[in-house]
Amino acid sequence: MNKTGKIGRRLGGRTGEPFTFIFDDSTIEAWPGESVAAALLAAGQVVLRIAEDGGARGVVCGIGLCWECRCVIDGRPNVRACMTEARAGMRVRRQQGLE
Amino acid sequence: MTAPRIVVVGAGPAGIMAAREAKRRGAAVTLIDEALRPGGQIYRQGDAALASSGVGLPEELAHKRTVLEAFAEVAEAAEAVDYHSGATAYAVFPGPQLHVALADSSRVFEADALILATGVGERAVPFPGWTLPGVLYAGGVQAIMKAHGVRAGDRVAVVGAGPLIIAVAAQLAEAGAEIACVTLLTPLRVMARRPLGLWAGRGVVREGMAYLRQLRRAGAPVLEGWVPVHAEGAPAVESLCVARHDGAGRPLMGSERRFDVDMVAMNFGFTANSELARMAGAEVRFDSVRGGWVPVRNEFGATAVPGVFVAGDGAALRGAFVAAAEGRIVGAAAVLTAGGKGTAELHQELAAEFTERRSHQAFQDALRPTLDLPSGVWSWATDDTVVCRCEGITQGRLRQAVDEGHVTVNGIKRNTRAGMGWCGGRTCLASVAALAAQGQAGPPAETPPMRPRPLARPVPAGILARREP
Repeated sequence: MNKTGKIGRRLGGRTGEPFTFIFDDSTIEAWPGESVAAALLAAGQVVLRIAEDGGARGVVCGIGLCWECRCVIDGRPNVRACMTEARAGMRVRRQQGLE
Repeated sequence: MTAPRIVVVGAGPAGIMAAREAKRRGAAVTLIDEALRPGGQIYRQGDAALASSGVGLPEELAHKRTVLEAFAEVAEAAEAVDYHSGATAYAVFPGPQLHVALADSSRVFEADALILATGVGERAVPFPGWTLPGVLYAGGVQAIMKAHGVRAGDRVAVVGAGPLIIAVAAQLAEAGAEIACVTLLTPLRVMARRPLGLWAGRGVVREGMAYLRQLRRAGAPVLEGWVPVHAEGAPAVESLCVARHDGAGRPLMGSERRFDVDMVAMNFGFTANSELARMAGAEVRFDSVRGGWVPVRNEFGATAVPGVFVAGDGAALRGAFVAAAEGRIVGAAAVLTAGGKGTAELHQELAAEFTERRSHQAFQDALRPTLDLPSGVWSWATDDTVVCRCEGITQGRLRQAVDEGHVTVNGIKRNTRAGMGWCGGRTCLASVAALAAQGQAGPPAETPPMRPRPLARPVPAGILARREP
């Protein structure tokens, strides 16, 4: 399947089949090549973590330097959503403090 | 004589050009890069499944092609470069010896010359509310557009200093976002103080003008001489308050304007990723506009540490064109030096590359005043603003440490834990240094940065344990 033009927050073309992964209680649509962070941002999900100080945090640098977007992905804590490619059936969870 | 072993860290314009040059001159080249695809931050590439969103104007895209073609040449050479993507260089030891975390194991690379082309990260200036989800670095927002074809918000404020702000705002508008406001600390017209530099960079200037026209067409207010005051919202950003500043960066009360937004993109310049060079023992000097503490090196990129070279923005921020020219100089110099060639021969052999680097440098000098941060910006954070995001250390806690007499970066770090978290101090270094400098009543140049310790990046213990021979 090919897709061109803007759809929602997605711009430019897409090839391949869209798929879904789980983020806490939500089902998130993603396209091949997107990072977990990009798919979440496209879905309007910006709160990715609750920091040790209780504050909500999300993507900041987008390139793997700041580690603010670390999530629990397939059971593994402290995985950067911005550096991880989204895959079908992945289970992503908001990280709560130190995990 | 066996071929010299050249290890390059970073596959952006400087690293790619250095690797190609070293390869052409007969070296055995290893190229280590943290990203999955070459190009660096500036020429970031998406997955093949995502058609290029075409973010960027013709001159930039043409240079991107040149750099990526150079990479293809490197990769397709008969005896291909030993290229490791998704690999994290986490330590340098004498030798030089580079320690690298691969996907599932770690490996040590011994080098005759190590070329660090590690680039820059965005410099943060904390303000109340800057830790709210939805407040991102502007370069990060651009990276998510370029590499993933996604815009991170629908109604956006773009705030900061320097021309990147204009480019990102225009690209967001192009991507369909509504631009609530654009604020620039310093009016871009200060660049006119260096007309020759502007002429040298006329291609880029034309692009900048095109971006400004695009913003005007989109009806986006471009506020020059304005700064962010605070972001609010729960649990994510919902509004941003901005104000005129007093010339020293402090907001003028009474001039505030509030915008409803679902994303804030901010950029206040860049910080050199100099931790590997510092770990290798390279001396640093302070240059507020060119990346903060940057490694000291000669005109060929050589530091005083034998066999350790630095190239590109990580050595002094001057953009992709300078970085690519410099990559060629440093790649050649590393091979020629290993072969015993002297300075005079190097100058003769690399005259054309030196001329090219100089021509791009002139424009970078014209940009300089747009990126200067007045001291007042470091007072935007209030006592309860979290400055060290990793450890949750507030401005108030940092000020307390300064009041107690901890007036060096390392002293504040030891006393408060600021800079000891996941990011390795990258995010809060500039803020902590500014506070230390205030405590010393001196310029930040005199407070050395945090001491870099292995690991330069967090690496799972299992990967360290699985060391390849």
